[in-house]
Amino acid sequence: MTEGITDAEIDLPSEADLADIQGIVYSGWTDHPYAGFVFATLGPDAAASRAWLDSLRHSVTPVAKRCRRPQGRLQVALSPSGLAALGVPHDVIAMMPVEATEGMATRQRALADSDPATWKLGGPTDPLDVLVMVYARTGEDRDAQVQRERAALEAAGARVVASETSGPLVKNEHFGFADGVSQPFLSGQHTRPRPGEDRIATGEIVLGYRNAYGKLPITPQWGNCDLGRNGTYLVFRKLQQHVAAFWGWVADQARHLGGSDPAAVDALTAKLGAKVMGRWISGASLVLTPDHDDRAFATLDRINAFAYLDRDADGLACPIASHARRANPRDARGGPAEMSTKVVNRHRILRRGRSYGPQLPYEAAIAGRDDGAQRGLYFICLQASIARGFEFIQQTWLANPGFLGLNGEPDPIIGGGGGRPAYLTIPADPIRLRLPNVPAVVHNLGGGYFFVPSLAALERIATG
Amino acid sequence: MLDATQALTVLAEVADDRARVVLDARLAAIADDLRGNPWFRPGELPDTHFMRFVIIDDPRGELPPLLAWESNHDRATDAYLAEIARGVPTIERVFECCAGYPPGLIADVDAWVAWMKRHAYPAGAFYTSYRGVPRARILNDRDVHAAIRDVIDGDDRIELGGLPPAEIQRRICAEVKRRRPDLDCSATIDREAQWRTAVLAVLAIVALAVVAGLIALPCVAGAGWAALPLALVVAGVAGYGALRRREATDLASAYVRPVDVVAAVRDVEDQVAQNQLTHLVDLKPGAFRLALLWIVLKGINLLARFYFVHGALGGITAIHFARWVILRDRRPGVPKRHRLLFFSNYDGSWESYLGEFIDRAAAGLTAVWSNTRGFPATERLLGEGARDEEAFKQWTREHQLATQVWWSGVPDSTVQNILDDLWIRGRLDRGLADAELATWLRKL
Repeated sequence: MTEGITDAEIDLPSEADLADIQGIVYSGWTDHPYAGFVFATLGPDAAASRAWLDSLRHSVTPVAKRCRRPQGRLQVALSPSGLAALGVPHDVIAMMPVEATEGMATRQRALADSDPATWKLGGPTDPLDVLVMVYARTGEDRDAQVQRERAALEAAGARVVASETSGPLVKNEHFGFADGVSQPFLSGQHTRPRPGEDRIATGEIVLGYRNAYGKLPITPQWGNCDLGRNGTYLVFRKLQQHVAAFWGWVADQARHLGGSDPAAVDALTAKLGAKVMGRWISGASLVLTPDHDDRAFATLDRINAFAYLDRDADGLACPIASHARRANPRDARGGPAEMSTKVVNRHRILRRGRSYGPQLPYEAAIAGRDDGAQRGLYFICLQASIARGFEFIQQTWLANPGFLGLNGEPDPIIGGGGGRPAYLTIPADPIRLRLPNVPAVVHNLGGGYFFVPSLAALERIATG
Repeated sequence: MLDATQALTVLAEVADDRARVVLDARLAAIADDLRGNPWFRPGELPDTHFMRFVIIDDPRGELPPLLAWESNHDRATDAYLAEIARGVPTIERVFECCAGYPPGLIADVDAWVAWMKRHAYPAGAFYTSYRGVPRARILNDRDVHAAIRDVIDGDDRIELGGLPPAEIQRRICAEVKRRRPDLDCSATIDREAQWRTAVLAVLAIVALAVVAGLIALPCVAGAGWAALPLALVVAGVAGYGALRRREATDLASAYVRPVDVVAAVRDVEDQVAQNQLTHLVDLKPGAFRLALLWIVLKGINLLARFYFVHGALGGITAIHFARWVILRDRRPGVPKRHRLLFFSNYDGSWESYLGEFIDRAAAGLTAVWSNTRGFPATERLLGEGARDEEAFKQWTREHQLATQVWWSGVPDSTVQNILDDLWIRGRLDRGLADAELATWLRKL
């Protein structure tokens, strides 16, 4: 087994680095409940685009608290095509990983995605050069910020492709479950991880630091400037959620299994929903409370303080096929627990997603009644390698119908289904339950791969 | 357990440029429609698990292009080839593009088998996760498992759930047999554990005997023989020194930008359940590396054959079949070169496969590929090397070849699926102890 880096060897960013790294690396800005995401294609005049970036970069929020404004946060991400439009030479951009330069639309098969030609965001005709992310305390502030950024981009000759808005922030995503529960711990700002939070090498997320293998990854070098240092890669996906299709299907299964007693069917619906997601509505783990939701296990100190192998190796509590268990298999990825944890932690990402659209009431959802409104998740994640981070998780753990010995069972939430009939096995004694016809409840409407430069790199790019 | 599943590698030069054009077009047509193309349909091959055709071009342009045929098949190679000659003569549409292939040869079964065997290269090391399990058995057991699933997915599930475990098993068995009388549900007795212990015991005894023999030799055969163990020790020390010197001076490829992935390589990757990899790289020059590689491959082959019998090559659980073949190319006017060819048929994505290599089997892979050009710097044969994750991946990409035709005889099954199916069918129709019965039920 390749041991890689030990906790003691993890590189720590210095004070100066924390003033250089964009703040989103260490914070989801949950104290700013309203967010806006402005996507643009830059114009042909590279000098005008650089002037725009040069003005914008002073508003970009770094990690360091002393450099922040009292309120309002702004982050900027550039795709490889955006870097080219800003005049970064092609041979510099070519030092970025292949998946980043080729883009998410080329990875349809690996990601079990919808056809990029049908995407509403980042499809073949709308290259996404720039993503400006704004965070505000109120909806009005957010809208004003979005307007300001749109106007600045357009003044520089850019075409604004989309402005997506989110807010107010709610704890639960649209299916109703607590979201963003399991995150790795990145050293540098908070003193120590919470129970069950895995400390990962800084270089797993931020470029310029040693990664889990103790190595420095290749980064784009522009003359003497390491454009990569203190930067990271960002994946943005607009995921539409079909809430009524999800709960309607779960409730149908519960009615089929639970007989005529409405109370029993209700309880079974909640339980089956949790079995599919791999956590209860509150976020509590099924391993810790197998039979019913219990908020006592959803506190920050207990929500991640569990492992699978010793208490639930066969998935009798938390099904192996469930979404949360495959998105982070912890100690049950195969082999001894310690080895599994180590290998799994080489595929961790920081999630910074936000929901969009109105919540669908639970009663309507379990009745399978859709109100026709658009709702979903702006899935956003950060990592030093998209191939080893997001793509690996999506392809190898989630969309893979043969994950850990399963057969014909892609992830029931975001596995895409692949057009085949999909099953979900829920282990039980003495005989497991296998649910048929798992519906496709999440649909990717598009997005892209971006680079999140450090403040110093932004200055270098803006200087030309 | 030991005789079935053969690794056949046939390598033949492509006749000339015109033949190359024809061959390219035919292989593309075959790949485009594996079942319906007019040239050759791999699905018609008897008892074949996986097969591929690859055209091997020499990046340096010194050696002529080769056509490689990889087949993982059951039974003895002679009988297998003879049956192909009789039953699937269309395979000639591929081989007739090769140099020295007499037109219409396949009509003469013996002559065709002889030609193929003349062009067959032995595998330096061959690994499979289910050695000795014929394809027919895999397909049968897959269907048995599917039939079991159908039985317990039905409305009988609730009634079954109220019965004692042994009775559940009995009823499932009876129902599967009733519904699918065509399937073979016979029980097997698992001897793998005993087998492994026996192999380890034999190896330990042999090792002890060798050491004891070397020590005892001078006493028995005279003092002159004392030189032998001494010579072995000296040779070992010298070999180690030579290795360390080379490791200090060998050039590892430095990657300052990612290697471009050729579209032809990428296009045939990321299939749903299974994937393939073809890799070719020059050995470092000189007899030392060739000899060392030969020894390492022999060692891996022994382990693969006798120890990693079912399931995992050094902890990697996703390999159906893999092989290394050393190509010795001697051409007039071209400096002598050796190349190492690697074929793998595996589950999941390239990224996960390479990750498993690095995380779980870095030592073994480093021992093999450290003898080839540009491999990330190593220490003491087994150290570092593949542990340099990014460099190892870039190096792999750099030497990967596009696979023109790839066919799987068990397309939707992962290694784990196949092993589970075997295990479940083998225990369907026999009494099990309580603990094993509980495990059996949970695996369904």
